[in-house]
Amino acid sequence: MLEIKNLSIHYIGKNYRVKAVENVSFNLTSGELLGIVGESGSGKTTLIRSIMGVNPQSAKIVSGEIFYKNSKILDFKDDSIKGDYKWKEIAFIPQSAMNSLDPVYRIIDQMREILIVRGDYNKKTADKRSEELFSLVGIEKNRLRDFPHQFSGGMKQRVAIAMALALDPKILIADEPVTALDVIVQRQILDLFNELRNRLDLSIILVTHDVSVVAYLCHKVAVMYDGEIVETGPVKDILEKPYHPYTIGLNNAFPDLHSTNDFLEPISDSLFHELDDLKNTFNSLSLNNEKLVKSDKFVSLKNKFTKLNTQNEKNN
Amino acid sequence: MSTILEFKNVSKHYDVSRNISEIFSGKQPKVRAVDNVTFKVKHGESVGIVGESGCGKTTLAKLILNLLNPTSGEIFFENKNVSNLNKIEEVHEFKKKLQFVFQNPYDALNPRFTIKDILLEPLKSLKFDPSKYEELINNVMNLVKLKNKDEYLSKYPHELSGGQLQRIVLARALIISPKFVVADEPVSMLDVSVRAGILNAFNEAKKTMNFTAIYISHDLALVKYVCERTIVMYLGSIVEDGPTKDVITNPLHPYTKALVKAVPVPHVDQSHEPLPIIGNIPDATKFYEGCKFSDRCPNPTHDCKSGNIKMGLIEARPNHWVDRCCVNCN
Repeated sequence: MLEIKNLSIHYIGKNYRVKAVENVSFNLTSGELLGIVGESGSGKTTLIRSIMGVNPQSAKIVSGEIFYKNSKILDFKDDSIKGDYKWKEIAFIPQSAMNSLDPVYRIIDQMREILIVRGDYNKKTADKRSEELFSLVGIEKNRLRDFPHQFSGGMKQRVAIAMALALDPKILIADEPVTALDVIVQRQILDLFNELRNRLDLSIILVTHDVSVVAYLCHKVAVMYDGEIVETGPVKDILEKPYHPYTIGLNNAFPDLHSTNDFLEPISDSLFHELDDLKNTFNSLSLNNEKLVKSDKFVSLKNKFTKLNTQNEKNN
Repeated sequence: MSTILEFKNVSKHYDVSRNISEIFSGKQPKVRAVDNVTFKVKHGESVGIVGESGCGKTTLAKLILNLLNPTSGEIFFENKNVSNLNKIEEVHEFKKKLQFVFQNPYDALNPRFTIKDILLEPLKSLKFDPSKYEELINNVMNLVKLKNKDEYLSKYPHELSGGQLQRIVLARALIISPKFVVADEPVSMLDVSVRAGILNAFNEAKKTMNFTAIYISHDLALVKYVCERTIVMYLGSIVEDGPTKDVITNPLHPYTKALVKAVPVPHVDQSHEPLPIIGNIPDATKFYEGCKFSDRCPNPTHDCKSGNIKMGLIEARPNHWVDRCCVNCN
């Protein structure tokens, strides 16, 4: 469905250059649920925004290509996005979607705007489509004439999902869709994603910092650290046999409701420093990532953190 | 252990009017943010308060801190009624014992103050001996694990990361050695990788300083990590109260069951069963004759809505209290 090849995005200012995304590649197959995890500043949002072409001006795509159904929709050379695929093929739910609804317009007017401007609906059919969408995400249709402030957080998230689905996209990209929500509402939204995927045959990319959300919902996961995808694979493998020390650290830092372990291991600064050092050494030797992973130093670092992991398990 | 904090039938109602006729007709709708809440906290205990947004957790915290006056009922702190403190001396005396850790570290610190000014503020306003300032700052910076403290003290909040800021917020609360600390979702704004560090610092500080703590959160997994006792709130009332382990492994109230089930865990083979709860959070102004949970109860076995049943908590297991009505429903 969607293929991203060697994508690098840098923020370029007058006297600085931030490498937000470095050499990232992944594909999304039809009907797949892909989770991207990583902490703030790891480049998750920049990565997926580039697919929608909504990055700020200072973000420059310096290399890479994006393909959708085998047709190239983005080439770094001209830096602009080709084709009329936005919202119709790939839809995007921005971060804190609840705050991205316009507070002075009724929901129905905001729905009409998408349907009429982007799609080829008229006012009458747009209203009918809005009602359909509302029943799809589980909101009563008589609430279409309400203002955003009349909805609760979970309902606003549902409205945002309904809007994203307005023009029947095939891929849905959600940026931190459940971060600000309560656990019960969070669960309802996650179940909604799953249901929509089954019913509408969607492919979904879910960006989050919560490993357990990914574990609940996704098939495949990509772990991002410092602008790179450091580990990717089926969720089960990544959670049970993490390879990269950062993933191990991330797994340990998570509170688990049902484990009897009473100690959380914060990701230590020393791990970050060691990772950075390691990366710098290898960058200066101009080795690629694959060799880095196989190197002795890396393996010893990995063993160190696996040991820590097993120690924790013994304590259980 | 003696009781440090006691709530006796405390209620806090907010008046909300949608239009002027509601005000004049006297039918002003009320949000019952905290409704007839009774509980005790013992010295040295750490209590977690869980519930969804709008269930009155934060109002409860504000009542404890004397930032709000209750509509009815009494609050006792160290056997002294503190529900209506007026004299400034009394307020100061009270605030020397009680401190608050805020949810959002980015908003809680004055952007124009250096970290040192921020830490000195409680000492100055509560009139601590200036000769001790240096020592107190040293101690507290060690406690929250900010090494190289000189590096931080001259900085401004915008120069620090979220995790460091939350440590400063924690340090500001702990610098006066309070007896009682209320933390309102202290890690919900932070990244996962720094959460564990903050929670560890909080736990360690609690051990060294031996304060009583109330920890407010909607995430049971975090409460489990910090607190030995958990109170579950629903629409302004306490529905379950017991030892954290017992509440998580053996929840009695259907709402707690839903909460426990809804927390996602970092394992692949987790259940995707529907939650034992129906509908959404009801309108906060709704008045219930009977059981407040009746709208969302999956299998009410008797007529909870009528209001002719006895309400309140009963002790279902040792130290584990649960709502009298709902425990019968399943």
